[in-house]
Amino acid sequence: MKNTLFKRLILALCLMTLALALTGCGQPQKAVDLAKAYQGMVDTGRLPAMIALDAEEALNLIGLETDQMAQAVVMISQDSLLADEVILLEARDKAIADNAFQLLEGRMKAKGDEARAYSPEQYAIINKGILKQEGLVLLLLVSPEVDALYAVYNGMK
Amino acid sequence: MKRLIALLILLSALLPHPAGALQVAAAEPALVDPWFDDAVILGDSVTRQLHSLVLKERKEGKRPLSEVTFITAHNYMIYNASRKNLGSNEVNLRYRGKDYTFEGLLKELKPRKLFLMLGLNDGARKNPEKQMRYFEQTMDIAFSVVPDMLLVIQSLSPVTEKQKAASLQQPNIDAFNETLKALCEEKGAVFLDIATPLKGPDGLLPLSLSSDTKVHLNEEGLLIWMNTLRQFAFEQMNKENPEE
Repeated sequence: MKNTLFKRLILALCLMTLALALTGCGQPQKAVDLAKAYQGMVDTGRLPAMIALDAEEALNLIGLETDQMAQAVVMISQDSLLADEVILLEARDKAIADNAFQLLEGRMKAKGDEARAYSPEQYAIINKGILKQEGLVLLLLVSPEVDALYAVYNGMK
Repeated sequence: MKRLIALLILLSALLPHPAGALQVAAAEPALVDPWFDDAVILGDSVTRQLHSLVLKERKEGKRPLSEVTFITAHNYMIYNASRKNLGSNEVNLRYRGKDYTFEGLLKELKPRKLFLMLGLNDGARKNPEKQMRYFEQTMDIAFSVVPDMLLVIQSLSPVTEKQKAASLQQPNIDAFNETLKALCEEKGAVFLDIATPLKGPDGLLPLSLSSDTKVHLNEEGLLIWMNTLRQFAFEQMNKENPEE
């Protein structure tokens, strides 16, 4: 009898542990290290030479206030005739994330408007670009190899 | 030994110096770049290349053209700048996450100095009356928003021998620039010839200065343009403070 009770207790504890692990309760969800994710994208060799925008440049060019972000990677192509761009953000709260998403939508639209009649090749690349919001994390990826870059990010989740 | 050194110095002084090198020395970046602090440089994809070079140099710890603000858009035309309203899918200027017309942007920024280089996307025709009308409207807009601004209209940059589009042939660009220069004098804007320093002996953009063998500039070409801007700033500073 005692043995059966003990087994049931162990089973209950195991189930509770499994449930906590599956729901993510008990510990904060681990965010992807966005700098590492970007480095992983660079390591694929599929990005051209890129320039990091500092806080002032990100504000002027995109409207992003990077000091409101827990993490921010804002990279544009050094060759301004290429549309390649990687923006990875983790906002500090949902309101900031929602606002940043709107700015990135505007950025993507502006890139498309500029390229539509000017460079059909770059326009096609922009059209296949990825813009996603996953909770507090935002991604804007523009690259001829956009799927490979996104796979790097997904691999780090 | 002393005689040898003196002889070497003398020989060095007698050696011919390229005119450009002397000009650059006069417009020392550290001296002239802060002059651009209250300036906006606005243009199309060619100007965006200059912006990219500035961003790249900033990453290397330099501060070329100091705190200058660049506003650029691929395929932006003098037509777009001359319009008071543009459609939602037309190319607008974008600053801090918002779309602006040329007029709206000037109202937002109120620059003391504005450098424009537009027209390549409009096409430099043999008879550019329509484009000049757009320039005239654009200058009127600029002076109506900031009446006492220094408005600098930069010439169109040259193209290479491989540029085949009928709308962008060098003789037409040269004629366009001459007409534009006359219009600037009439309207109270300053015309800045950025083309001549970029031309080779044949009057075209050398392939060695182009990134796409047609219209766009490579880093060497962009540095020549930047030096033209610095030389202009140097001359303006001398005008503003003749005693210095």
